Amino acid sequence: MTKGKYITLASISFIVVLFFWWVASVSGLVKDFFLPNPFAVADSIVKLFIQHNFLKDVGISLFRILSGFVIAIIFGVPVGILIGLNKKSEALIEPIVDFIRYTPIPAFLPLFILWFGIGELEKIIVIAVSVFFQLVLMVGNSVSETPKRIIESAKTLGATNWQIVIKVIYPFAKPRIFDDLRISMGWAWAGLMIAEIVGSTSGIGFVIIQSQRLLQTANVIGAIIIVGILGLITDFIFKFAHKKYFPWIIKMDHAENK
Amino acid sequence: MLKINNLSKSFTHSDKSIVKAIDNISVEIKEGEFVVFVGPSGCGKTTILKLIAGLEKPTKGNIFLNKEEIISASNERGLIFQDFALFPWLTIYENIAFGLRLKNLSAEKISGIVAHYLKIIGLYNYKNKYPQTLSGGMQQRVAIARTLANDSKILLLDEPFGALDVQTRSQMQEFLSVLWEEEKKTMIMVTHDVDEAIYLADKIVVLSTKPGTVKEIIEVALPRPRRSEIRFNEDFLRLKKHINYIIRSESIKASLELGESMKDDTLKIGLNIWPGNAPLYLAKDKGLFTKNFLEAEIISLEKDEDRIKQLRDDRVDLLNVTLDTAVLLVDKMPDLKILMVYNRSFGGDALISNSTIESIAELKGKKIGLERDWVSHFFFLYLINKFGLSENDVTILDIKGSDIGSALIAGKIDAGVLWEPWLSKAIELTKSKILASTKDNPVIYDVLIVKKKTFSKKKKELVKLKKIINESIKELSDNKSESIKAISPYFGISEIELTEQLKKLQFAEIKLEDLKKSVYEIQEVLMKEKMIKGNIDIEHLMVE
Repeated sequence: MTKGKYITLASISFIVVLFFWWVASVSGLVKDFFLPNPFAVADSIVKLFIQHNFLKDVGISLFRILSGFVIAIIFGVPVGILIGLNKKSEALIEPIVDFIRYTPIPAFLPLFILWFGIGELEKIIVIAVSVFFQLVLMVGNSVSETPKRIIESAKTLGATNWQIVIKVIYPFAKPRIFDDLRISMGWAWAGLMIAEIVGSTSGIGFVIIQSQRLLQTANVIGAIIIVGILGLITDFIFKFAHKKYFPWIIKMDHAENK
Repeated sequence: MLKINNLSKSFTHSDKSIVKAIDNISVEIKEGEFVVFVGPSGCGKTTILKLIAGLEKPTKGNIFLNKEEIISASNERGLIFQDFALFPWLTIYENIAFGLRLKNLSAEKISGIVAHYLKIIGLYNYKNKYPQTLSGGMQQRVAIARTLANDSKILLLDEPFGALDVQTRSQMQEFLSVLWEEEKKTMIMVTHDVDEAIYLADKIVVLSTKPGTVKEIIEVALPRPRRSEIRFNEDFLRLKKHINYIIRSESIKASLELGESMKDDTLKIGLNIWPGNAPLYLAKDKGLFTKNFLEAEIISLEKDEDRIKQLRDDRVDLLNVTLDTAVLLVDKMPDLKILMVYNRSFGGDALISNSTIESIAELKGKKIGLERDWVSHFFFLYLINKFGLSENDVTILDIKGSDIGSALIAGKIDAGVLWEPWLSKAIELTKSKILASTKDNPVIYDVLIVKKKTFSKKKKELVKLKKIINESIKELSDNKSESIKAISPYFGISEIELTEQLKKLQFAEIKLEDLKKSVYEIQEVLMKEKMIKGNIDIEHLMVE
């Protein structure tokens, strides 16, 4: 598929959603209070930025999400690699990770507030924890997909076990791990919203919950849309970087499609 | 010098069953020698290479390289895979430099070595490309260069050209041959391509299958340097025929697996997997048993000894033997009867000899290969009896049917008794002469035998079975090509081969009155050789 065609199709889906939203609100099918029409929402987004200094909230949210995400990467990627390397470390780590992964982060929130207060540290930890347990498993899976023959080749070229991890498994899995990061970005946003809706005085999540309390539905929807747009932008950055840093992966896909 | 001593390797599957991949392999490989392992698929070729590489540990036995036991992988022994296994994130240059970088060599040294090998493989201009963008042949050259640059003493090649097209393949064979002559490294390769093996090897190790054992070690004395034209050399072709014969016999054997019944109430038919039983396999394939409401199961058997035990212990209800064996068995176990005679060998069994022997009379004092106490043994006795010879006049070597052809080529025997599927292979690949066959000596018939007790208990089912076999025989002659297509997999041979082999058989239910002469002749031979005591009442040989 060509790039132009891709963009056209993607735009169509957005336009369709917008159209039904517009019809639902303008026709009176849904009350304006519950679902303001798209133009009112656009209006409130502009107002949020101009009158309510929304940029500052976006900035603080981005700082939190980035800090939490980086911490999750620093711990999650090595642990994930460890899981992917062999069955022993998998048995040691994976079940406990699975256990925590299935317990929803909001359930931990009161505990985190108790432990870390309601400052920046608590919010960053909530995000880091939301990402960490998901990321570990994805990275583990990506690492375990390294073909056995490549590892065996390296062994007969004289690589030690440590060199195999550093010079074979890691570089081979890197693009996949990069994809895992892109996907876990979604979990980071979820963590951010949870952290900002409870016990916060700034950030996008705070604006959403505050607007709901003041019955400003248009602001709630506007802020959600901003989150969506920011998500799309990070996704785009990841994809762009992927292409730039792993040119061999694209070549490989081409070779397979031939 | 690489010494492989009594090497065995078994794998344990997840269901805890243990499968032997290779068994008791011993080979010596000199430094600088080019050794090729050939064998049918499933002979554990790759396992041998992985053991030499040190990637797997032997279950039994060991491998010594210059008096040092191999216990783990090292850059001394580089492994080259069929699918190249290059590092996709590294350029061609970096792929070749991989092992050198591990050793922390200086940058100038590395670039010198890499450039040298890039030139040897003719890919200097591709050094900054990624492997995936190159053709298969190019990628394999990079893999070879990667190992050579690393100063491996031994190159282990696992079907290195198996993934390439025919033309690239022969180019790569020449490339490797020249490379070997220049680099003088020890190369150990596995392949299923006999042509490739002879072209490249100093020594060929032919493996049997399931588990892989050494069948034969052949020194290839063809002159070097070898050019492609050598493939037309007479010695080359002779070797090729010899090795092909062994491998084909092995792969046929591999497709004949032993079976055992699970159910109790079904009619269990113990069969020899050979084309004479085509009607029964066809009946199974066409669902004729189910159609006639007969619960029957075919159990494929191979060795004669446990075959008869299987019948005695009621593990099978019916057993397929030849008429002569039936006569012999009835003499020993009077509670046995023949249920049905359903084919006659019409050239499917033969006595063949090397070209210097012209007639059976000349066999006196010669070495004969056959399977002792089996139909081939009887057939041989029957034939020499006609010429007034007896067993004591010749030397009989007990050789498996699958090996008689190669024994004849190798000159270990002067003549042998063979049957399909090996007979046509032997005639095709050797210059042997047919001294006599069942075409003019109608004495080999396939029969099903049954215990009297079983017969009275399952009479209804057995009558049904006879009807089904007749129906299947009719189907086989009416829809020949379609039937052959359906059943050839059971015998592990191609449709063409099966068609040819079925020409040497006549299928029909044969009544006892038409068999009287044959039974009489069989009894005469068996009595003369003191294998049975006296005449059996022919009328009682068969069930009513």
